[in-house]
Amino acid sequence: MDGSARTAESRSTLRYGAVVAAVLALAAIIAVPDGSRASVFLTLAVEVVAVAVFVAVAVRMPPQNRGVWSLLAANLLLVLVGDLVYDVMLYGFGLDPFPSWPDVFYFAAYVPQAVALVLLIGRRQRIWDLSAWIDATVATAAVFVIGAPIIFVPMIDAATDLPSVVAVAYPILDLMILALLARLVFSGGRPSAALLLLGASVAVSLLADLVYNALALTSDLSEMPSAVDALFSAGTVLMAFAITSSGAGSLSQPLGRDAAMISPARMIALGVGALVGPTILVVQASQGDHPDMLLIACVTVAVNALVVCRVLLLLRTVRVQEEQLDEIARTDALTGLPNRRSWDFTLARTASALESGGGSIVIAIADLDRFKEYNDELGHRAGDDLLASCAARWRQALPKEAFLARYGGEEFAVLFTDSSLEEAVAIMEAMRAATPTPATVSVGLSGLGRDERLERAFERADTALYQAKADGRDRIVVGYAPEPER
Amino acid sequence: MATGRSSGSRITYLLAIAASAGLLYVVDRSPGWEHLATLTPEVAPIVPWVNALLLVTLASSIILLFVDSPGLRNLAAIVVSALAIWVAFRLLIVFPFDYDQVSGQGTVIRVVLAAIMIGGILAIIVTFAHLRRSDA
Repeated sequence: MDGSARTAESRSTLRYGAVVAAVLALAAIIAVPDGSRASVFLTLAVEVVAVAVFVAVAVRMPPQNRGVWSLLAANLLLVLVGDLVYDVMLYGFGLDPFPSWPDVFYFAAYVPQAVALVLLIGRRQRIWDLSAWIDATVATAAVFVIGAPIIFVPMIDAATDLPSVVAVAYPILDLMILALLARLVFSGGRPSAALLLLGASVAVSLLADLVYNALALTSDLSEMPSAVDALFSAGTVLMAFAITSSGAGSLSQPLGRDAAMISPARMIALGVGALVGPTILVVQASQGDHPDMLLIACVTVAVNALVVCRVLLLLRTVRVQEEQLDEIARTDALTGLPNRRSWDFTLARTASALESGGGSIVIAIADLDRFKEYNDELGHRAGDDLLASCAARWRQALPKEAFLARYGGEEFAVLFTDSSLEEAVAIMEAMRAATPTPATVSVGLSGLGRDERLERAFERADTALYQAKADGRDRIVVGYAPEPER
Repeated sequence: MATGRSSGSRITYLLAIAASAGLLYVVDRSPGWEHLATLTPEVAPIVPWVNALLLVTLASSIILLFVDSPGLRNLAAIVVSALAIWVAFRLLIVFPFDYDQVSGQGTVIRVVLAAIMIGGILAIIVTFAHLRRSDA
């Protein structure tokens, strides 16, 4: 076993050991009597160790990630200070700590947490990605609607004095963090272990907040169940695991794409988000009890409007991509001219127009002289440059109505509609003169006879091109002059 | 794409101008906030803040309609969001609405005000983060 394998194995052993220790510590918090000194000390000990690990790793992060993890460390430290003040007030001085000074630290802790999540979002992806924000809002609204009858509405309706206003502020701020977390997850890409653990930490902390604030309004704080303390500690411990897990160092790596396109899983999640409200209404109505009908109906309307916006954005993205694909399929990548597929399509469309309305058509085929020798002598790169340069100069020399396409290799085709053969010859002479030196070009040209098919004119232009080559190159040969109409 | 984005922004600014001008007219002219049946007299101290919010929105939208620079846009977003948070907070605390608890309309208003506050806080943080990225 080499050194790196041994290091990896010892790290793995350390990680499993830390997981077992954390689970045992959390179980111990739950096992000790509610509100006992042992519960307080155990909770604080677990949080101090987790925060210490977090800070120690955060300061060693690469510079591009250090800022985000330092902000999250600030969040944990503020919560820890809040907890210390809370315990000193409650158990040391017998004061009521809610609402009081600890809340200042708890509220302040939201600021670095929110900023860290926003910075992470902005680094991973374009921050103003409307599609991802809509997805995140729908997910947050669904959580709100689920929690509305049991947590949010009772707390909001009871918010008439300071304790109840403070109590309701936590779940409101938690929803904001949840929205940011959802936005982070909806950035796309494969979530790393660090991102998943970070998400789990935030989710567990939000759950702990909700349970605590719901109980704080009705119970004695000194008899708060130890399980709530364990939940808070679990959130901090998960954060420590997040920063030590794989992917923590690259959490800020740009994903390089927007969330406009949607995976089937996320589409289903959006659908579920839109259906949560109506489902709760159905359940409440079936029980003959619908106290939150207006609120849930309003949120449902808003969520469905967002889903419609999301679908419209998706359709716009699909249309843009369709146009881009169409452009790619019809354009020659080297010269930027229409390619052979586009030539064939245009020719077929022109043939169809001729059948219905008639008109004058001239087809020209231009072929660079001795291009193979040029390529062999100067290399393919020089050959490509020559083709691109010819295309650019010829496009400028031709009128806008003339359709110039790269037919293949060093062969180009021009379609003139509503130009006489004489006019087309004069234009092709100008195009030939515009050819960059030292290259020269041979051109075969043909008009369209009465009741003839376009393919026939193309064949004649091709034959005329061979004639031009045979006659010594660098010239125009007219394959057919149609008789003037009488 | 640039043209589409710019015309989209112009439509947004025009809508903001129309909405803020309309609301200013309703609040201060006709019928005036005193005649709105759903408001109680406790709203009086908040009306100047509402007017300030609407005037700032109106002025910034008019300026951005002609000079749509990223710096001005971010500044306007921060100022308007901060004012909106303050107005929503004041309305939430005073709650000058004449709704009964049974119908659930009061709860809806409270949730909307809370949502405005969350959205405002997020907008400020995101705008600052955006500014920081632009500077980097």
